[in-house]
Amino acid sequence: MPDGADGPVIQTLELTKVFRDMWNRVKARAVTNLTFRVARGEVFGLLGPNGSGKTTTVKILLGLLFPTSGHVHVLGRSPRDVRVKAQIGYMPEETNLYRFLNADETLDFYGRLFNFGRTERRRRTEALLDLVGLRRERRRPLHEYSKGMARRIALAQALVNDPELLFLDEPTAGLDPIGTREFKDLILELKRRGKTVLLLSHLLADVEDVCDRIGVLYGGALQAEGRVDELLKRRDVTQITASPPLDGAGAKRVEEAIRAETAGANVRFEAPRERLEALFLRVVDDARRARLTSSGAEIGTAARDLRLTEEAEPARGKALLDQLVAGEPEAEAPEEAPAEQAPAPEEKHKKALERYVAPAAEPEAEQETPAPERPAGRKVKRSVLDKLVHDEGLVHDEGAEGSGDDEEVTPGA
Amino acid sequence: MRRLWAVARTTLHEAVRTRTVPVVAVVLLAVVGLSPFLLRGAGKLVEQVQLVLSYSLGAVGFLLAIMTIFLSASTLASDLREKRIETIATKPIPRWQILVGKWLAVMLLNIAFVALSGGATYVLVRHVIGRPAAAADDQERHALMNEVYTARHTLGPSRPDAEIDEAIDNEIARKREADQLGEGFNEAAYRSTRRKELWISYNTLPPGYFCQYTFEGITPARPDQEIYVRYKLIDVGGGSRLDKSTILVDWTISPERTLPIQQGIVTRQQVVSLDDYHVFTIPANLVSADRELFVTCRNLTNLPGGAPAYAAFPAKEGIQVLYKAGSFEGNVVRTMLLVLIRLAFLSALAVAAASLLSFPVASLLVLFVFVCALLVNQFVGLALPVPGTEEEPEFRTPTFYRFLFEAVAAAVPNFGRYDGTGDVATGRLVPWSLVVRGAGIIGAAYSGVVMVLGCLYFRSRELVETE
Repeated sequence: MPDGADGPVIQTLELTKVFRDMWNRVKARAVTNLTFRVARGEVFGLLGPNGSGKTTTVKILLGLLFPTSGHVHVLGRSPRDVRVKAQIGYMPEETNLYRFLNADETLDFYGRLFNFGRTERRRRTEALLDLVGLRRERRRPLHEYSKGMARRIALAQALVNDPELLFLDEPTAGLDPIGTREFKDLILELKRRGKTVLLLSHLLADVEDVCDRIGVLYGGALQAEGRVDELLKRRDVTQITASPPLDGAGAKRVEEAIRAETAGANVRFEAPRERLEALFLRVVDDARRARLTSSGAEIGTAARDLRLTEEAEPARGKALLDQLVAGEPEAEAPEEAPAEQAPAPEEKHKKALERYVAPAAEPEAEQETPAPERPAGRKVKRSVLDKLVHDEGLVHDEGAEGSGDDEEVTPGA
Repeated sequence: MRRLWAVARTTLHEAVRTRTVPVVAVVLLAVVGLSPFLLRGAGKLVEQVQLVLSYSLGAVGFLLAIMTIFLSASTLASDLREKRIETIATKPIPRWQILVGKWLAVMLLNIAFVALSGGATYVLVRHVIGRPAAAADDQERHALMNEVYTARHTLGPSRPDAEIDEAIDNEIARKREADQLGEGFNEAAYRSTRRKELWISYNTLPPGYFCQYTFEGITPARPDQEIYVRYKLIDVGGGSRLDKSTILVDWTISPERTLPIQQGIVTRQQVVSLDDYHVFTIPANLVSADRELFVTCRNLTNLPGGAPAYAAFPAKEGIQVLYKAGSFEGNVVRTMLLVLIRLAFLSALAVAAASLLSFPVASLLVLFVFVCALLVNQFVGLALPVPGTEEEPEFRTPTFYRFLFEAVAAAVPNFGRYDGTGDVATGRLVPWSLVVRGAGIIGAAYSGVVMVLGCLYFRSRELVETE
């Protein structure tokens, strides 16, 4: 475990960054008195429009820029400390890798920078290529890569050392929905493994899907900060979903039950809309199952593996990550993660995986499709739900994958 | 070290895949291979071989310097400009290793290029255009083997400084006694002027007079070896004869101080042309046990029937003793090592410059330093007193320029002093001591200082250009 394991992974105090020109005149105040902290195992989203100081903040945290005033600690040390750098990963906004190297050589190069031995580098390269789905393209020079492939190799480069703390600067910018979903699944998987992630984005939907806490930067200062569920929770409404859909009489009885609980409640019945992302992923998934091949980029294995589709090996994606963590090269080779394990993975793993399963991957799970404004389920008052279930038996939760009768778990709850 | 090597390795990849390496290799081979086309109209075979050698090695050194400057500056500058440094500097590699890794890669390339072009030049000269079988006659073949394909130690005469100083002391004492010293007598300036004048007069050879030179520290490898005496006589005016192109002299070579009137060990009388270099051979066993050799030249134009002529040995390289002290191959190797040492400095400077300047500015700056380093030897010869002596420069320079020259001479390494090209072409030894001194001064001191400064700056700088 790294030093400073108990304290926050990232801590800034009154951080200020002023850019000056060569005559020492102030050009811009990029960050002003920024104070925030990120705890171990958190996915923290730093939001803000262009020019709000996000990237400057991250570059200070990475030791690329030095603060004008204030204090920064990353993993309990100065960001310029080489020991800190051994435990972090950084995926920059633009993929600026050596364009004349291929994926193999790129990962080998970055592995060398961590002083890994030959077998260790080979093991990690194999695992990372599988993880980001570039195995088939491993021998092509990077200048031939598409934008999506470039983002994948940039991510792989950031994961070479199995970092404790990962900085992702606009990781999904320019990616198609499948790639975006893969990235998000991967972030959640990393979080499950206790990693800390600092995500920079202005794609709000992505931030909402994966972040535990967010900070909103504007003009170099933190304008809002807090837990995503707290910030987004509407405290004046309760939402109930039911499958199969209620008929008129059923709806009437539910409405009555609610009115009995809260007099004068405003009750509305409507079919929830599917998210466009879910629809898109389902369509592509169906097409693939029908053995139609996309003429575009190959779908990476990461999302396939992390999601529980019928034909995928559910343990595989995790095995790949395990492989990166493992000390023994042969201990958990991907080939040795057999499909037979899939139906009965470790209980904890299963639960965690199911939590991150995208709705589209399981057509049966559509009942769980969240309300339009929220990707994850909204917290529901248990008493009302219990009453409904026990009194009327209206809610059939067989297909709800064990979460229909529980509080819906939002990621990071 | 693995991290440093990772940077070096990737830089090598870069140089190969951006086609720098194949292009430079082809250009180098072309420069060497096409050099015989320069020979049209050149004279004897010896001269042709010397021309090809000096042209080829000089061009290779220059080309590699240019390549080194641009490659070293661009590899770091492009990492900075294209922000690759963001993913490298956030990995646990100390920043100085990034700079040193780049330098190492460029130097590994240079070693390969220097070996390639040095080898190509050697093969071309020794086995193609200058192979002994190509010589017209035995005399030419002999000249080729003994004046080019050799490494001769070159020795100038010892200056009789003690005698000159004694003469000056006497002069001053005499003048002081006679009360001839003026109010503003500057003894140091007087001594300096007189030293020069007396050395010139020591080298002049009026009719009937002789010059005796002492050569110390001659260490021939074998007693049956040949020793060469190389000299030039110039006309200094005076006399009454019409023919000023030749002079009659005789030589006495002896292992001990002797007068030409006495019986010398070797005496020869000859008519020699003025303003040309001449060489004659003596056996090495004439060198004394103290490794000394005394060479005396007498002007015989005062003899009956001769037309009196005034001649002199030029103060610089007027007379030298040469003897074989190494092989041609060894000389080529040492010359190429000196090339490498200079490239090491240029690469270190270019990498250090690129750590704070953009590519165009950094490479132009290093080019400027390179030109200064090439010329500083001329500055020193023309404008500054010869180091270690109080000799006046050939031209008197205004103080401001002199100051400027001194500043430049101190700031940049003296490439001309550590260049073996001219010596290798004339079969003169490029000594290991020169290589070692070059490695210490240019390779270690100058390169080390710029590299340390570059690393210190790079370590403390922010690595993001902000808009």
